[in-house]
Amino acid sequence: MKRKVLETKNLSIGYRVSGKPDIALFPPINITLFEGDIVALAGANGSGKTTLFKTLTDSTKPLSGEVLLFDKNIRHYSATKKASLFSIVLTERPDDVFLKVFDVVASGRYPYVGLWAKLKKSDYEIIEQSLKLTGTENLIDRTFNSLSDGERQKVMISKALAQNTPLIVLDEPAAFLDYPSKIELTLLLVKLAREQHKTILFSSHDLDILMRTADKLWLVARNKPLVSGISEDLAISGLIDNYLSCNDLIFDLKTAQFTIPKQKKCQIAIEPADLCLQWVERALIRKGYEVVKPDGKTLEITSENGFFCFTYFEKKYQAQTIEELLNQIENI
Amino acid sequence: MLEKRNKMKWSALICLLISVLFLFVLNILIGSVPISIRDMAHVFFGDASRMDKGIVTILLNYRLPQALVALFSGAGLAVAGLLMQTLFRNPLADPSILGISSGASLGVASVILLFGSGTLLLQNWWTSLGISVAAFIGALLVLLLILSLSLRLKNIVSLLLIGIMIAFITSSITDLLKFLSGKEELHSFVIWGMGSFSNVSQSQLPFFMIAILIGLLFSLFLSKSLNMILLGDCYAENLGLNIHRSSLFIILIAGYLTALITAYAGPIAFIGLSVPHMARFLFKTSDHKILIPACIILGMLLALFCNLIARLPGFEGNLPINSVTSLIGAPFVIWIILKRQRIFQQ
Repeated sequence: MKRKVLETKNLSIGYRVSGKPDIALFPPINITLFEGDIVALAGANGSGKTTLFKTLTDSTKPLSGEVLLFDKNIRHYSATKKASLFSIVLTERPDDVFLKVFDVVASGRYPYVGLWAKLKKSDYEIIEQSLKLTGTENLIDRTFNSLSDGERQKVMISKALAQNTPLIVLDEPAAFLDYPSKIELTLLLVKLAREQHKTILFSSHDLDILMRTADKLWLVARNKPLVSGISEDLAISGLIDNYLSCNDLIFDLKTAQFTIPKQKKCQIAIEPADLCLQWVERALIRKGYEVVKPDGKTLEITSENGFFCFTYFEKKYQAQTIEELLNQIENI
Repeated sequence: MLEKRNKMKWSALICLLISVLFLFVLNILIGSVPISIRDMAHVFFGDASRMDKGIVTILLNYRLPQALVALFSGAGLAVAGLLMQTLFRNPLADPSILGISSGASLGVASVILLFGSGTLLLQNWWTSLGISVAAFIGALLVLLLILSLSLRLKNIVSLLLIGIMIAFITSSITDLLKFLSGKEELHSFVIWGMGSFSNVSQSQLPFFMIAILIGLLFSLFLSKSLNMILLGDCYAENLGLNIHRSSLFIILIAGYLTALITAYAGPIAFIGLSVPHMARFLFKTSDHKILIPACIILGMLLALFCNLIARLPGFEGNLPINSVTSLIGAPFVIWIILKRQRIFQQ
């Protein structure tokens, strides 16, 4: 049995307005985070995700119930002890013009050094290793402000690593990142969990990141009980759709993405035998056609000698690019 | 490879210290009565009894105390400014931002304008002590008010707003007092408001210097907290910092230094605002372990320089030190901002 890192017991969170009954965001929560797991807290904007996050990291008091960090109420730890048990990475960034990457990462050692913040040789070694783990050692002399969003995120993760805590908590780590940086981030998180045996809790509403990274999802939505499970199970049972979707969006199980339900234009048959035809299929789905298996009756697209071909009323059409092909289909 | 980073630039610091020494000597030599280096050496290191009594008096009773007050006030104000800028994460913050110096002004206004010490001002030992005490009490009351309010407030920005409001209230009461008072008292008050490094009497000088030194010493112990605060409150808390207690300490030290200096030298503008910018720019760092000593020395340098300008031969009597600090400090800050932009645009 893996060690329990974080656990909640009948945790109720929400707002407290004096003179009025407390407003709880969800029914009481009982969840456990085990060592070495990557768990994602997922919920739409405004679902109370941030409040839960703040309560779990002890920056907000719960309405009732308790948060246990390594089997002890998180509120009973000293500030310095807590600093050695979990580290945070937030969307909020320091913005001093002269702040260097080194300073940011070195601050991760502050819980372990004295009043003068004098770093020992071992501290420098840990800082260097933390930078290497995230691949940011070449940024060390840059000012923090001059970095790209992806680089900043990696530097903040280096700070968390320098803090040398078993648990790392990241709030919306993928926000502001471009697509390749997002993928890089997910790979990094997985690497930290598998190779460095870190326990990782992060929040996100980015489905792509959630499905790629998390061993387990904690789904939250206003006034609904928190659901915990692995992403694939939650997808099949329709809970992802239920918790994360909004308005007209539906969760498409085939593409694992939220889509806007479109009026299907007409059926087109395709046998996605090779990669090119698979991309044609994608394009057709995007354009709103219903793609079916070839049955001899429906219009079928094939690929011949590098051309996309189809026959319509005895006439044979040929296209070199998918764009050309789509135009021809639109026109008939 | 990492160890070399964030080490104090000792060479730069020593250069600055030599400049401080140089300016200190100039401050003693230059004035309406020029004094030679040989005379100075005789008075300090030799046999003073053979010297001209007048020169000895000028040196020991006027020049030396004034230079020392400038030295310590500059250092104290610069550090107080740095603490405020970091605490509020605002490059515009300065020691007066929490209304502490307006509290001092109100204290002084009450004494001068209500009890009318008019013409006696500044030369008389008792009045000068009375004014210092009044200023210190005024500043201390505002400081206590701010500290007690900061216990109730979670948000540091709200505290900043409240500080500014308190400054408005105290300065309007001061204005009312000014409106109601006689011409002579008003003149004395205006003179006090222009600031001067020559109001500390010889007997109070040791007390003033020791008190400032204590404040500066305590500020050195804040550098780790300040470095954490720079990252943002949430990160600082996660690194084990008790934000509330640290903020209280920072306000206490900055307020104490400001109250003390304003009490003895009047409200001196711009050193507290501009020196931290100079220090950051010169040492290219945000590490307070370097910035605090840098601010102390640069503050001394700027204060001595301004005092010298204010007293250059040709200006009969002293120019108001407040105008000089602003005239020199402001263009410097503008220059730094322009220069900084060029560096970080690359």
